[in-house]
Amino acid sequence: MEKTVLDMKNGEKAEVAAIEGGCMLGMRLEALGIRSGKQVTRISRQLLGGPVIVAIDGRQTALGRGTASKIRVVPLHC
Amino acid sequence: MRVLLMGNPNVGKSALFSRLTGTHVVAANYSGTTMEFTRGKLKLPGKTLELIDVPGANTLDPTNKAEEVAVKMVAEGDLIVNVVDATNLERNLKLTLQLLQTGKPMLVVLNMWDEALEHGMDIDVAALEQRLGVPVATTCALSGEGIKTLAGKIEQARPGSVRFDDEDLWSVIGDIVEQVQKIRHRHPSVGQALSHATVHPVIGPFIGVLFLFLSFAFVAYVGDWLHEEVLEELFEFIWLPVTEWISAFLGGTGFMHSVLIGELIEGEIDFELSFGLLTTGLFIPIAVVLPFVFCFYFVLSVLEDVGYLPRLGVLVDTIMHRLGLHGLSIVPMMLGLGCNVPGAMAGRILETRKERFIAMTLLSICVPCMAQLAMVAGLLGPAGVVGFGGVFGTLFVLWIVLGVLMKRFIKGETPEILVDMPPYRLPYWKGLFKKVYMRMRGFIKEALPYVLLGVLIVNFLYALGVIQFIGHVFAPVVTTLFGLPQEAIGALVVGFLRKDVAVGMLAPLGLNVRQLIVASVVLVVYFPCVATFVVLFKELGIKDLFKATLLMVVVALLLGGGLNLLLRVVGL
Ligand SMILES: Nc1nc2c(ncn2[C@@H]2O[C@H](COP(=O)(O)OP(=O)(O)O)[C@@H](O)[C@H]2O)c(=O)[nH]1
Repeated sequence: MEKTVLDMKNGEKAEVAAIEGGCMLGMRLEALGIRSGKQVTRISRQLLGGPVIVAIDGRQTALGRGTASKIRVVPLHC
Repeated sequence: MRVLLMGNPNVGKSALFSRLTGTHVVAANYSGTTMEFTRGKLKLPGKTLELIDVPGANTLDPTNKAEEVAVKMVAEGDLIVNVVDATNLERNLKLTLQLLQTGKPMLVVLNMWDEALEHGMDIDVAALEQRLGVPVATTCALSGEGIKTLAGKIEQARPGSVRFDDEDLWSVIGDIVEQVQKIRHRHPSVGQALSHATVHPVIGPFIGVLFLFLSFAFVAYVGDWLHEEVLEELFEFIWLPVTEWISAFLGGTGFMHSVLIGELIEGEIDFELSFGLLTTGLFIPIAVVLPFVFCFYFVLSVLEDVGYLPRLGVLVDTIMHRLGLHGLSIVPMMLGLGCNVPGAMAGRILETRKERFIAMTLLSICVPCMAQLAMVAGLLGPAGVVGFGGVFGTLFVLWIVLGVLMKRFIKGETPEILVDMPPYRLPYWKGLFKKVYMRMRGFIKEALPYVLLGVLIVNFLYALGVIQFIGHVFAPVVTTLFGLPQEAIGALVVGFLRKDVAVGMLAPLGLNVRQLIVASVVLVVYFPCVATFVVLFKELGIKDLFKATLLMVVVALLLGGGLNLLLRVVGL
């Protein structure tokens, strides 16, 4: 049941499974606390193709949609 | 000995730096404030060390320019003070461990200790010291708590004792966090709810417009009040008698009189129209421009310290992408409204050449600085809504159109936005006013000499007949194309140096509404002031600067001519 952060619903929680794309993107995301095994919560998505907001460790981060579609996650059911 | 202050972006490094050195550094609540490093002297009992504020870095495997600089500087330091955001331990420890691996003597500072306590986080400092093998201090850079203890511990800095393989980095970090940090309770705070609302896809933009409107209204009304009720009065009561005495002393005419006092208007000194060094030269920057600059920097600093700017960046991201930029480039644009110089410098945070070119060109063409805005607003006063709408509407449309065109025709990429949104923080007023004061001082130091020089040059050029001569040469452009009186050329010449002085020169010309609009718009777009030009040269390089300049000239000619025609057609 893998999907990407872009496909998540607002308020949904998931665990990061993998990050696609270059190693540079991986390092940048890691610097913001986004890496395999971390739990992310989707907060919202701006209208008209705008960024996606997620929370990790209680901190919010804004991601462009291209970036969001490169973060593969497994939804958590709780 | 050289001490490096290192840490992730936005952990309060600049604030700590100014605490430790007493030097005032502008600290801001968005990532990447400190791109250029700052150095200062750190006084300890018995010795003085050199302290360097290294640009914020998340890792020593560089992913951006700031990190490249940081890596280079590690090699040159003798001792590292690693600043960590105590509320965000896990994310910060990566850099800490990487720094420990360099084997340099080190000390870890848990800053934002006040917030950590407030959030119910318990960090076992002794256990952390033991795990890392280096001294750990706790501070609140805002209140200054813990700074003394920190300074005392610098002597005890030593190489750390953690050993690990690179692959195990995160598991080691996870292990450390598990051991030293206990979170007692974590109820969602008011700040968090507010944070959600301000980036809500529907409510967010409304709040954004409201904030911007309130900011604008504050600057306009409070600025105007300070200008009219305070500074103008001060000038009338205190400075007018002095200048009148000087005027009488100089006999009311002659070259010295026209340089120092300027022309008497109906036998009296008029601070706005006389155009002498001691009259208009001081009145414009201090009584007209400064109140607005103060209000603007106050509002901007509040938005910055509270942490609103990255959120604003998120809200405008979609629009900015249409212009070949991403949301965060709103920051240089906003700064540019204060003064184009720091605005253009902030353009550095943008990653690609394309973005930097677009942002800096748009900034220097379409974004008037506060000095210019204040003067234009004064000039347009009689023209009312039509005047304001005409000038600012034109500039806004131009901003969009030029952006869209540049996005199409400038080669290169525009990366997506990727930004951490710091929690909302109440501003620390003392720090905030210090910052506003620093920015105002920067303005006065930069602007006052140029204004005085501008006024001086105007007087000389008129006395020598140069402006009249240039006026004749360019008469076709000015009178036919722009529909302005020939004397307006003087303002365009001086505008290269200082735009506020240039706008001031238009005041005595008795322009009609159409001419006011055309002249104001042309003055904004045709060229940035010298100071901005120098920064553009440094940031863009000669080739791109040439392109940008060409664009400015073409835009000014087309727009000035077009507006003149259009406004004539609608009967102004
Ligand atoms: N609550 C709290 N806020 C702080 C502390 N230190 C800095 N800040 C605020 O955090 C923000 C970032 O600080 P700054 O010095 O610009 O961080 P830098 O990017 O690491 O240089 C500013 O708004 C500061 O006012 C602290 O110890 N406690």
